[in-house]
Amino acid sequence: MPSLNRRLIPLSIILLLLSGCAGTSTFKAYPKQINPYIKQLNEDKGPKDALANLDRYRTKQDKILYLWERARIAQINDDINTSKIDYADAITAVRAQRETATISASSIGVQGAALLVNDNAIPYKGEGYEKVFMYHFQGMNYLMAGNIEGAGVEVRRANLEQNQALRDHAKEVEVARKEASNKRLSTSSADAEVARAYSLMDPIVGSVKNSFQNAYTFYFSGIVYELLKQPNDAYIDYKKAIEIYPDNPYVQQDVLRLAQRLGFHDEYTSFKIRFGAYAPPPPEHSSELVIFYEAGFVPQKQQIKIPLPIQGRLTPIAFPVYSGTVRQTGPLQVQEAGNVIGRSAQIVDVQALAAKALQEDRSVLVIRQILRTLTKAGVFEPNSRERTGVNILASIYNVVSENADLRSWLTLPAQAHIVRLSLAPGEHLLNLQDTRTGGRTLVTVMLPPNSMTLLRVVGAGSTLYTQSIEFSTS
Amino acid sequence: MRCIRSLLIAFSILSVVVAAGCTRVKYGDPTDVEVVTTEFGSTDLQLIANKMVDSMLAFPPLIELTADERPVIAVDRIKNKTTEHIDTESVTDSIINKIIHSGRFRFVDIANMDVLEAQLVLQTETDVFDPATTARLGRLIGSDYLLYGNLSSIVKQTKKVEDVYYKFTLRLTHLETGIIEWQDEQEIRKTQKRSWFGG
Repeated sequence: MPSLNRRLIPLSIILLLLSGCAGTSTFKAYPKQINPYIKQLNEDKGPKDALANLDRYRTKQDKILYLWERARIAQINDDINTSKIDYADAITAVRAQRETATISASSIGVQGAALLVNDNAIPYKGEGYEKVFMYHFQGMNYLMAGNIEGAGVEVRRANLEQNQALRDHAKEVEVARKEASNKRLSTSSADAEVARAYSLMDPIVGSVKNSFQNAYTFYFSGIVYELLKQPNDAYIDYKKAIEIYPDNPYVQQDVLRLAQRLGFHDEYTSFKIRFGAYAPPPPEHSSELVIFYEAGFVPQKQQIKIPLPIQGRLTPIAFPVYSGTVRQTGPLQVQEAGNVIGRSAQIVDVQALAAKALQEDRSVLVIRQILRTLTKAGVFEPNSRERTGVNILASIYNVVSENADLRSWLTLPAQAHIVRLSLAPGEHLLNLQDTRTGGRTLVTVMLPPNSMTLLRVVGAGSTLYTQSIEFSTS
Repeated sequence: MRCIRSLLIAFSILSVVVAAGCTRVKYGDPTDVEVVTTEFGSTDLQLIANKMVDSMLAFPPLIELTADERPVIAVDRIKNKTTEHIDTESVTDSIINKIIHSGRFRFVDIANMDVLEAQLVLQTETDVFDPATTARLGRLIGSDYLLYGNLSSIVKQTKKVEDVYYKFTLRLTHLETGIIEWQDEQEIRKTQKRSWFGG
């Protein structure tokens, strides 16, 4: 029997590789695959290359991730139809993942593979903040195609996702802890070590309370509800946005305006004490311009090796981490005829959400990494003392296969900002400039009387991509 | 050897079973209950349309109102306030269809007004039609009532259960007076439990 066991580990590894059940990023780090396309976006080279190459992954196990990248690249390049199909496919895949049985046969197999190789072999599930953006950006697709009701469906889904992410996360932590206690593992000292390393991310996490509550999505949702002529629903979402970003002057004015209009006198008074009185625009400024500015790209995870005490020995284990460097974008300055008529205010810091999500995942990662190290070393198998040969082989294999999971949605913006202006109806030639990155562009917007015009600006490198659409508000 | 032989036999049986399960297309009864998910489906559509129309047609004041005449109704599109992309036009069509077949109301097609208008203009402003047979502008009949409504949902999810409550509200309002002549709600609650084991 020992001789059979001795052959089993290398055999199962070879089988695993040959069968192709290892993920697409199991042995090639994910950021390396996506960076060429980010470079193309920064240089305004068009989406053709990216769309063709990423299309190959739409049936693979990490399809959610590749579909997100493809959908976002198409969207930035104004290919709304492609983007809509890809987001819809990703939404279907996310739902299918949620609907599979709690313990599915295929997921046991994959977890097994992940225990032998690395976390990249687990199909990518997506973080809560990424799923919220998936619905948000699909809503943007509907809105840019003039379908407000369709956008309404997506913002309600985004809202639902924000509520659900919290519950899902708590459950995942509980399952991992149970698994650790079943195997009689004590992970507290290792967890403390990793927590120390992860505290380096504190500067970029800042004051973010959790990773999935996103003020930009709430604000977008408020805009959609206003267009649907549901001001009460809009007010609720603006209030959620102001709780997360109390200093944003545009959201302050929105909560004041709607509290007054809807007759919530007590709330108006309390907002007035916090933010000052509502300043209505002059009556001749009947056209509104709302600018969504999505700037830069979210930072990428890097790998660090943290020595952890396992079985009485310090063993270096690979972990994903974000560097602690805070990267800022904007503000976007809006000029007309040489005068600055508006300056954007930040509404979400996606890098903070991403880093916070990683910190939240910490204890699950630690448990899984320790389980993997022990499984690779054959600790959970009987007669392990007699199998020195296997242990040596496993040690070599450990070093080769130990890669941190660096997967995340990389074409998400680093930050998003908003501008909301009331202007006179007519044609406006605007000069937009990101005062930090130097990116600038000229854009003409047509503002009909009693209307709301949405202008979406995406900043990639020093390129600014723009899309706009007008809606009647009368 | 015996073990390998039994494996081979098992594999052959499995192949036959798998081959027999190839894709086939067949006609089904549209009123059959569909495979259930919590999404809004064809069964829900039929259920809602039928119940709504039955409720409206059985409403005593409306029976009285339609005893001697066939009032004209305009229909506004049903608003979708759920978390699913539902073709509410199709729900509306099913409802109109049933009401028309009751023979008690007449409808004006405001949803396709632009198409009607284009056709009228084509008939009156070009000289390709026989003037004796063309429809005249300005003779569309105004409606007495407006039928409108919305479909909303409340979703509750946990890891194991998804519970969706759909509520469909339909209202018939007298245009001149603003009086709501009839209104009803239909509710559907769908719960999906995930099994512990599966593929």
